[in-house]
Amino acid sequence: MIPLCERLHLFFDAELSPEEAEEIRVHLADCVRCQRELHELMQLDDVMGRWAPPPFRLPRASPWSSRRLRHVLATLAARGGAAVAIFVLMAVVGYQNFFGIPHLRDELAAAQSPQPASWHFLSVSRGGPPVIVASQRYRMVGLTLGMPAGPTLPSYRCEVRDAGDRVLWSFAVPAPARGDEIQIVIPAFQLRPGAYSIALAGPESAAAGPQSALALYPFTVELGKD
Amino acid sequence: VGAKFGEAVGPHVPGLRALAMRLCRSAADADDLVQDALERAFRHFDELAPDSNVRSWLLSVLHHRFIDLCRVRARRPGESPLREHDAPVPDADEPPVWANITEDNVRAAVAQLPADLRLAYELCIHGKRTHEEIARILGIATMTVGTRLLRARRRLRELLLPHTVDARTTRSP
Repeated sequence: MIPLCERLHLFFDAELSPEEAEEIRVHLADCVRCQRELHELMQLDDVMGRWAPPPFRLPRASPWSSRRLRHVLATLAARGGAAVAIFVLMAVVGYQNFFGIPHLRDELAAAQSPQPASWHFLSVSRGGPPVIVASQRYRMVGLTLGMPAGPTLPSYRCEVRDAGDRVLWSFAVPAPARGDEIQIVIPAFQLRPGAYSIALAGPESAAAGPQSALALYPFTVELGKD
Repeated sequence: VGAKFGEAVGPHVPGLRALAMRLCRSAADADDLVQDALERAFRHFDELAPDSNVRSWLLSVLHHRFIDLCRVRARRPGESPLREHDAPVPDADEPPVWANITEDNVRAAVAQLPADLRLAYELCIHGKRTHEEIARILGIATMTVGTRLLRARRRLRELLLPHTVDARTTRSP
């Protein structure tokens, strides 16, 4: 049961039953604390209700509240920061116009142009791993893989691993429509000199690691002179 | 005096009656309480300083009359106390402590309320909503609304009390 003094605000808001309200009225006869509290409630609500409230805005989740932002901007302006900010902004825009955008334009043109590639044939390894000489002239390295032994599957999972057995690329390749060779293309610029291997596995395999591979194609990459 | 009294008090009568209704919960008792308060206020109107806040003073008179009503009712349960005139005369010359709160004080205080308290309090004061309606609007328990309103009022009182007039220090010797 909540003490009577604690229910005074409920009485004031007319939230009590008639019996409970009468109990409070009787209590008010002797309780000086509640008398004073009631007087303050009356005065407070009257004062608060007399003026329209300022517009209510829910607090922002961001720590950068409008008050904080205004404070920062005011401080910047007071310290000449606005001029510095404009200078920095102009410098960024100038850099983008004279350097950034032309460079991006060249990159885009290069990406849209036909991709030169050097093509290499990798068979299921029986001897030493073939050497692929990566050239800066070629953006891509095309690899032709001999079909693994066994029945032909509709597609294969292909993984390219480096010497540390780290998976560099993993993708699905369809079985060839004709012939017995699978062709894949990998970006040349990510190849560093060293030993690599490609593993082919069934399409359902989560990974085409050496244990589940149908065929392994090791190769070595060397950098060309150009 | 009568004309001056009517001019000064008239605009505040609807507010007094609304407040009396909250306290008495009966239109007849509320009308009696307001009538009694106005009668007492009229008797002491000439003691009121010219620059006094009439509304705040009237609220004090109404408060005193209501407490008198409660005392009589406590002594004689079931009887209508307002028709008895043995209650002590209220201190009508007591300066109302909330008289000099300004709109700026109010705005500053409200702005410092936490959002959840402020929303509940504004729905209560300006929206005239019951606790149950506020609970439905805010999606919280009715008891939580009561707690939030209590906390909001306590906080506002803390913030506004420094701006009030201390009755003991301003009362004339």
